[in-house]
Amino acid sequence: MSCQPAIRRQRPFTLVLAMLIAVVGIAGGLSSPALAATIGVDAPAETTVGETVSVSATISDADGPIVGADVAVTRLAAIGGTSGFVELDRGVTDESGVVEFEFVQNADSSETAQMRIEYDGPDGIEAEEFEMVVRPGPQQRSGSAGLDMGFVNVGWLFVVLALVWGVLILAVYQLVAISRANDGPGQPLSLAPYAMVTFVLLTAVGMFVVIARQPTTHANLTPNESFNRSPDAIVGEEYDYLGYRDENTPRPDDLGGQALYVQNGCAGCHGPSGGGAMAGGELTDATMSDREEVVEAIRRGPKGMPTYGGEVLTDVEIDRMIEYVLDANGD
Amino acid sequence: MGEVTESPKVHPGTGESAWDDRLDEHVIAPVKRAGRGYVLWLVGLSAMIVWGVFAYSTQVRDGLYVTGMRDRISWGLYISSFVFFIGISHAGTLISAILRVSNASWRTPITRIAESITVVALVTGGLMVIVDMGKPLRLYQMFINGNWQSPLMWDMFAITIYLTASVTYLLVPMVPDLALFRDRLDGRVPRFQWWIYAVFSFGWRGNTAQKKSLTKSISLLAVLIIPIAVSVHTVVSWIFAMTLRVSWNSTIFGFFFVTGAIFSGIAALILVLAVVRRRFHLQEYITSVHFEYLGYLLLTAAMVMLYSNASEYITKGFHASEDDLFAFRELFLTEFAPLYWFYFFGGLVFPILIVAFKRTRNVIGLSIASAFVLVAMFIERYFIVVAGLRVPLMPYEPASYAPTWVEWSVFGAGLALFLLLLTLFTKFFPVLAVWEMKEEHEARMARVPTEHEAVEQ
Repeated sequence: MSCQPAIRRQRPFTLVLAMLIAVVGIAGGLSSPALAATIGVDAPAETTVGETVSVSATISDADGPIVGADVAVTRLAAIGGTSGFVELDRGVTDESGVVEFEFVQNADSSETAQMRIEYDGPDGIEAEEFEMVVRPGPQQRSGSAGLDMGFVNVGWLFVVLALVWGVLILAVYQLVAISRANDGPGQPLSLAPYAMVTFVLLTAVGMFVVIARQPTTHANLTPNESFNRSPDAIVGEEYDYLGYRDENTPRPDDLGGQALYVQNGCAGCHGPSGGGAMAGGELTDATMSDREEVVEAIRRGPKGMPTYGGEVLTDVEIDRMIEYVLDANGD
Repeated sequence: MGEVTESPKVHPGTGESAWDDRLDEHVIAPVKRAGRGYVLWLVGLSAMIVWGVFAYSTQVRDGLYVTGMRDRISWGLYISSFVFFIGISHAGTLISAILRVSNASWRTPITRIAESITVVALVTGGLMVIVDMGKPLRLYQMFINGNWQSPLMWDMFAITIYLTASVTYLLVPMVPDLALFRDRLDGRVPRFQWWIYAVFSFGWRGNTAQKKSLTKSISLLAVLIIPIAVSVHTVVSWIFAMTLRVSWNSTIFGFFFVTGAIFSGIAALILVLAVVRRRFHLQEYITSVHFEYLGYLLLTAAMVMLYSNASEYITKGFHASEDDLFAFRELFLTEFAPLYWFYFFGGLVFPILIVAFKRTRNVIGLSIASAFVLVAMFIERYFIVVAGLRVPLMPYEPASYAPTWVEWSVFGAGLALFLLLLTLFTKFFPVLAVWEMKEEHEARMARVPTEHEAVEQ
């Protein structure tokens, strides 16, 4: 009972102390728009995935540009439930207070990148935030998709297959030996054992050819390869509904190149606008330099590509399609 | 135990025994005889195949829409039967190659049948995949536009190698027996049939050089075919396990599938042996001892299957996610529960009991057990495929699947093809490894009788 008044007396004191601290804090905070430095940012508003982006920042204070300041450019990134600003590049300002950054745009194209210039000044880190629109590039991810172990490669598949087929052929070859050791009357079709060895050998060689011809995609998504992938559809981007071609209703003569491109299923393999995807290669000025060859490819269908005869696409329509693709993706 | 005990009489001086002659005649007999039942059997099987081809033609015309497979459950009866037949094909490998490598001499009378099951089942299983492709031309796309980093490609490579190796493995040890047919059947069978024997006996005369080559070839093949067979069914399991599916996300799948393959392979072998032995009167060679030994193998495989089930489901169930629970619920309690529990009790527990008791460990008991095993293993493949695909990947209603008449017809045709090819093989080719049996018999006779054997005589 005797200690209660003591507590009562204590409360106002604590309150006063807390208020005091708060007032001092706020006052200190207000007085330090001490944004000792001004950060100016010069950055492109739009970037493309995979592109090397140049950003420059100017650091200055009331006395003019700050020379030799430690500045970094960072981007807000999230992984596994945690997020934070990731440093992309770091530099030191020159005599006019300017620092140049360069980094590869790795942000997801479905979002706007939240960027920040961080200046490590005498009063702690000062930051200036800005945004950067990220457009889809020819590919969304570069580099290997898995654990890259140099000694684990397709070579081993060849070694194992060569071993297996080698033993098998050796076993089949014994039939030739048996046939040659025939010391009795002759046999019909004495070439049969040779034919069998040849057959097995050809099957083996065929398997090697099939594998060797095939692309290595999963671990080798580097640009400028024929099997480079880009997203089939680009998230966040809207495409006009162009309808599906109905064989029974005649197509209007004046369909645009994009409509023709989408309706005939070109996008399924070559990407929404010829950027390359799945099986089909990228369609650019370089890959379509020979107009006759392109028309021939559409008509004849190389490497498993569907064929489009004259009754499906007229020459004029093919021209329109090519114009569209070159317009959308050429360069 | 043994129904017929052999009592060979050696012709003095000749080295050829009456036992040898009788064996020759027994093996040659089926080639010359063709009863009415046999013809009816062939006609019935052919009719089933023709019907299946008709059903398939509707699929080629109208597309896979005629099957029960849709976007969410995109594999069904075809893939189940593919896995089933590839599994059965392990009969030849296990019985023949493993027992050959381990010098188990009791295998000799049953190797040929085991090896023929392998080839026939592989051909049928391979066709089931091509059927599942919808249009057969897609196979060509695998060659032209395939990607070797795809498990489907691995499967194609593995099966190609396995088929080539197992055809060789069937043919090579058969060479001396085909030579026997060539010599004994000249003029007694149609010319073309004799010509086949003559061509594929490769001028075998049984001289030392030829024997050396034959032994070399068989040794190479026996060692080679074991890893190939194991890899084939492992790769088959990887088609499932390498996909992002709850029920298939398992590291034990390769082992599980290989065990299942061997298990069903033994069952198929027991059943085929029982029929062949009865039909061709081979009781003297394929004795109840063989069935007993195969029964033990069946028992072992069933035990390993039980263990695999425990290992797979207890591991997953212990830290079950919501998806795992969905898979377990449909498998153990709801949609697939009858199938699963039939598989568990009928296909795993029941055969173990049959083999465990001496009273039932006979030809009839084992045949019944094997029939149960085959049905159960087919069911297992079915629920692995369909129940696995039924677990939703996104929050939508689980899909359902039921095979249509087209799928059942094609599956029936597959079974019929398997039986037809097997029937034709046993009809036209030596079902017993005659030369190996003779060699063994000779070795047995040449050996000085041990005390035990002397007492028996």
